[in-house]
Amino acid sequence: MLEYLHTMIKVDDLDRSLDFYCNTLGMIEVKRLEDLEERCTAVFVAAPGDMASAPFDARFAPAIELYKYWDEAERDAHRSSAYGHLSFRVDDIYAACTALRDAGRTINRPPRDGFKAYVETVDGLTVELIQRRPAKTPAEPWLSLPDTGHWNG
Amino acid sequence: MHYLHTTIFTADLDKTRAFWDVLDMRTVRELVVPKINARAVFLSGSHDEESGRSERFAPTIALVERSAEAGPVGISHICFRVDDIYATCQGLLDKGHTLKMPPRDGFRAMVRGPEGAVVEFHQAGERKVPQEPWLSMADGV
Repeated sequence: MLEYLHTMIKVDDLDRSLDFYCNTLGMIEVKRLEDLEERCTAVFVAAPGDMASAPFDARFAPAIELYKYWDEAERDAHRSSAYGHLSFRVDDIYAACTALRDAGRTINRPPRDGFKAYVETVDGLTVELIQRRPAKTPAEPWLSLPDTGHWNG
Repeated sequence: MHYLHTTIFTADLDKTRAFWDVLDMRTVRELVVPKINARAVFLSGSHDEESGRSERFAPTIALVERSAEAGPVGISHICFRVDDIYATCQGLLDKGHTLKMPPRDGFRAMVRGPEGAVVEFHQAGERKVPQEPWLSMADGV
């Protein structure tokens, strides 16, 4: 099963964007991640009419992810579009990635951790795949597949 | 207010659909956008298919075909359904925002967020009766 999670938007000023989405439009902050590894802050906001449809869990859906790079150089490298990825939750991330590879697609970030993968679409968009909890046990061939190419946030 | 869809422009709808098919997306609606005479398909993930086919019509992704000459491909905007599109737009004006597209038709409006993303609004239920000040308001940036 494939479940829509969120669309990611790259922001310059998190407070200004949160003011817009939450104070002006009335959306609600449902989760905040400080990612030390990827050096970013990710804030997930949801529309009030979607609050009943999904529980507060690790990945709230449907939502908008407001994504702030900590490093200006990293932000500049991703300035080509205001949007980053579209995110979907899958029941079996290995099966989804295998199907994509069989269709000739490159998995830009293979699911080495059994939890997350990125793949570029034919339109140059990035799709994020998130394994429904629990994460898979890390396994080959994914474990030895390196990151490939560039993906847009 | 609830999330409806993210719209993606593509120069080759069939090729783009083939990609999303691999990911177990289901077509929940197909139409032609009259204003730009463009083919559009709405896809839901298999988990969301029932909701996508229902009156809620969400969450989906909208693939809209247009030639490369007509503009860039990729994500165009994020769309939400709102209870009162005039109230939503008035709230934006009160905060100093310019509407990229005012709700002249009583149904659709667009605004650009501070980071450059475009957010679209659809009126829930019946469209509103077109009225001022929206009717004579020109498109912003």
